Amino acid sequence: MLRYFVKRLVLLIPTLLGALFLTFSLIYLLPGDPASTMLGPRATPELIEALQVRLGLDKPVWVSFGKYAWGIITRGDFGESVWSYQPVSSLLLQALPYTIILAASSMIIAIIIGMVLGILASAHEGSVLDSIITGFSLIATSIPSFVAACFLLLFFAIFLKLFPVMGAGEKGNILSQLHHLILPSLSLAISWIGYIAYLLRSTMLEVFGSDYIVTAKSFGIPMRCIAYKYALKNAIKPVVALVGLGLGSLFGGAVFVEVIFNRPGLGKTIADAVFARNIPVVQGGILLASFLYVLSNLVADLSYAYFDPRIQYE
Amino acid sequence: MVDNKKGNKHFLQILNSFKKKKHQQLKNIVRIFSIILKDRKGILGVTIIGIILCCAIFSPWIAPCDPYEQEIANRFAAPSLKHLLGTDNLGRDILSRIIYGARIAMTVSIGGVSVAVVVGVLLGTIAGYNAGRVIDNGILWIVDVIRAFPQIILILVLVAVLGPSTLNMIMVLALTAMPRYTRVARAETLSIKEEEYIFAAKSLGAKNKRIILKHIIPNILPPIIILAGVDMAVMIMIEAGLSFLGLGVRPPTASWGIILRYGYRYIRLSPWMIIWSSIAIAMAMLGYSLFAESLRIALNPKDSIEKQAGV
Amino acid sequence: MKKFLLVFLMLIIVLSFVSGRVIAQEPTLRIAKPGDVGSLDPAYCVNIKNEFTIMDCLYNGLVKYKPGSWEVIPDLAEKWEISKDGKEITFWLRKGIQFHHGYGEMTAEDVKFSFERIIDPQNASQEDVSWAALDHVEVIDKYTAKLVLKEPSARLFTSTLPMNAGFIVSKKAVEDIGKEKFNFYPIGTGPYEFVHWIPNQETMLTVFKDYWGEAPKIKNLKFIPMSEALTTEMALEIGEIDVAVISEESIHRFQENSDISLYLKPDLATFWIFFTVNKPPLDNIKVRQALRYAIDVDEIIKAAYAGIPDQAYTLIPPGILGYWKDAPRRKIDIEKAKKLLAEAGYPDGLTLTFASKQELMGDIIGEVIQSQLKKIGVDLEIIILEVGAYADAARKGDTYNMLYDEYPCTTDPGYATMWFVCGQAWNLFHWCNEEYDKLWHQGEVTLDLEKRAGIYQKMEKIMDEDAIAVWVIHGVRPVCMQKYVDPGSLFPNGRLAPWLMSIEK
Repeated sequence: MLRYFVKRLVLLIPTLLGALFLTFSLIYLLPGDPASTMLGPRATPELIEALQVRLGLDKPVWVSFGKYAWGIITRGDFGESVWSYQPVSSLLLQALPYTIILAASSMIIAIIIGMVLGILASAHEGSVLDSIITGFSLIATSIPSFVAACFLLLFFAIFLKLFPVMGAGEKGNILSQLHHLILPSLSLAISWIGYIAYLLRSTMLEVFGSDYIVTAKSFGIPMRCIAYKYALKNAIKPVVALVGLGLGSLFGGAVFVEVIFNRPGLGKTIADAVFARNIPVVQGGILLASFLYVLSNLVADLSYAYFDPRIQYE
Repeated sequence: MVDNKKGNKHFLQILNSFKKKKHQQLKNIVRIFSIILKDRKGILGVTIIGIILCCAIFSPWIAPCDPYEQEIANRFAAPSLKHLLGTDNLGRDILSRIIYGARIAMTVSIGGVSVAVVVGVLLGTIAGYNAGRVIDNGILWIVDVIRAFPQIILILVLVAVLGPSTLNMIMVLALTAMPRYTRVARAETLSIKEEEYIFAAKSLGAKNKRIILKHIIPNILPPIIILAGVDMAVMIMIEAGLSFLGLGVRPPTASWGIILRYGYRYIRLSPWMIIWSSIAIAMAMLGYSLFAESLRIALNPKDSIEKQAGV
Repeated sequence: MKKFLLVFLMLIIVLSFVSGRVIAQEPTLRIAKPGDVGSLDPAYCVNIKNEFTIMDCLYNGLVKYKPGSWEVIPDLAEKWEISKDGKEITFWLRKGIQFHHGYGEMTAEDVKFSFERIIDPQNASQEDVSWAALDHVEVIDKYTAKLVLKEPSARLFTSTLPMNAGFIVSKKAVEDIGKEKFNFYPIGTGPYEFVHWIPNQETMLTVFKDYWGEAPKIKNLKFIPMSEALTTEMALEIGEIDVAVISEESIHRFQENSDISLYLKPDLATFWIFFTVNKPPLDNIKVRQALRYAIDVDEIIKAAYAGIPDQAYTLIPPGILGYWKDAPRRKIDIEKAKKLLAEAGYPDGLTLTFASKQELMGDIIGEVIQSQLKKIGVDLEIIILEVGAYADAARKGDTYNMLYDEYPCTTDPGYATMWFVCGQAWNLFHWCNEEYDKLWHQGEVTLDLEKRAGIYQKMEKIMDEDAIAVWVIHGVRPVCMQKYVDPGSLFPNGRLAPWLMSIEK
């Protein structure tokens, strides 16, 4: 297991370097002169020149890339925000915990509700309840996070006035933060609830048909026991895999949700920086996002390999 | 040295099996479609896609009004005989805009998926065919770098940097979707290329390019098509999402995401924009998901659930 | 097992719902602003609407507007004396006024520094026009400063000194912190001092304990950038925000809301469509005239502003000195527009670009104009930008043909018109008219009110004849606050004076 982990880790390095280079070259993709576009109203010729030096635009590409990469790898220095001169790393680190909490709670909600629904549907196969749940799951997978966010916001925050519409709550006040967390997590979770419920139902149904389950049934063991003890353990594997895949796409959905709910987080930081043409923040943001994404994929793969050791030897 | 006579016989046998394969394939396609259409999900999926395609292709004939004609005095009108779904914030007919919005959704998703599939499959088969060599590692590396970024975030940044336009959107969507096709194509190529008929064709002097095009690709298509179906749904969603944020197509183009954006902004004045645009987006995604799902069942009835989960 | 999980989930939801309803007990006033701050240095103010109120809390000037009016009264200066020729003004400063965060006492040196840096070309301050008349500042003694002007200035007291160009900053702080960082670490003498700025989230101010004047009643001020009208209004209704300016569409709804007070004030500003005249095709006056005949402002007002504000026909708002009430009111004439375009050499139409900011309803207005211009064969490309990118692109002038923007005015017509002299940083027309410049300088030194009014009317006539703009509205400002917030005294255009506000809970 450890060898597998190390092997995967080492394989990551060229990928991350490539990602670093791709991110770095974003500056050059900007139409027009990057420095003055970024500076905005305070752009005097000297400031433009100063920024160009800071961004390394006056040197050949490989030199500035080297400096940029070196700064990140050794010091964690992602540069400074063009606007406020605040170090990008502190801006990102400030925002990151909110996104992680959002993603984690969305996944948790999705797993809990999705599993409950999936098990219910499979246990009552063919009934009205099953049809309702299956129908709902399929529709839920087609609801993008931003659509869900809009409707949840409008319904629960405006018409019912039950939940706050923006922000993450007061610092240090856990209950307030939870209160601000619910609608955003739910928006992100809805399509995952659909996926998980649908998938778990199919898997459970298939496992129900397999030999050893039929055998257990014929021994008179009640359905409930069967469902939890035997079927679930096997059916859960693809769900675990799905969750692993999902962590990455949650980052994307989080962007929409954070922007709509005006909630601080990595996604909102990147989106705001993109709109304000604050390139160093954009670069730092997507690098951090990709690093986390790759890491979460690795963890997901590892846990899958844990369940199914055969993978390690492929 | 192969004995010529024996070689010829062998060759004829293989040629026959080729022919059978092609014939089989056509029959397969028809069979698959009939399976799909027998399944409830399949019917629904194909119907929805059909409706959307019709809207996209025949919009000038289907749409009751000009989607760009503003009637400021008649903003936010409720549904009426003249405007079946109501009017938007500038008095334009919502129904017509939704119908024309199908064009954007279809263009972006079909365009994006096509480019992703073509480029991805090509790269993937080349990589798989040359497994272990430099070109394989090179392609794998590029693909992994792209895959290292969460799709939506990369798209967001690239579209914002390059400028919002339909073409940029298609290119960027294709770029971020391509890796999966490359990997699937590569994996399938790896397994197929060990098969007999490939050896045979090679020993007969068939050029690599021909082998890839004529023999390998047709046989790896099934999983690719399933992925494509799912991807179309995803691309429609991403286009709508970016338009919702203001990074999508430029006005006055009618995109479902843009209607959603203004519908949300003006929700207090009229619920119709947000209702109809959400339904359109959700329906489109649902249609493609249902289609992909029933396609998967039709193609792999006996495969384990794990494989079906796309793991 | 699963039942337990469900119950647990429900419990969390209920708990948080219950607790979240408890209103925060800290005396913090939460004010929504349409955009984030671009700079808190008065010499580099990027966006008055987003920044000025904050600056007003952080800084003092030699004089200030009396609360609730535009009358000018002493602030940091106890008294002043104007020389006979109007070119020398001596100010006697109050003693013992402290700067924030321990930067020492305010003296005449700071006054000299604050004003002279604005006219220093090296500093590239956009407020240089405000001080165009200044030659230099003399420090007579620690508490006495003399402004030496090149010529008498009519609006020194009506707009330069009370606005951000007249705010006094700490010389020591700017030199210590550095010009760039000072933008986001402001040091002034005002009733509130700066706590922090979290980009795109909030700007926080807190009461300055050593403030020389009357202490404000609210301890903390939090300014939150919210660019979406819907979110702002939702937050207001739910009680997450205390003060906000709402959109015109929602005026009716908030009038009927018993938890919120609405103060509808006429804004003191002009909103208009700029034509950038320094590059083709808009360098051709016929094209501009054609556009003017095709753009239906009434439709714009209905589409973007619910038809509420009055249409503007000229730069200076009604009620201000120099208002040109006989400004021409043109009717839409599509045929004439097409003819003019053909005469200008574009019989088959052309493509133009239009840029604006979202918080100004630029996207909606863009679409309306786009559809109107299509009738004369002009294709319009709409680009919506954020504050920084917009300001930069607009000022460079070679990027977009048309811009939609809003400029705030003061009671002094010189302020409204000063931005459009040749080469001024905010001259988004990139227009240069010698006659206009000459008249502007004349207006600056003319003290006779009637003569002054005539001068500005002539300037507006020149702008009209040159067809450089399409005026849209002067604006209204619907200010809303929770019933438990006492506005103290709002400025006549609805601007806040947070140091006079209080919360009664």
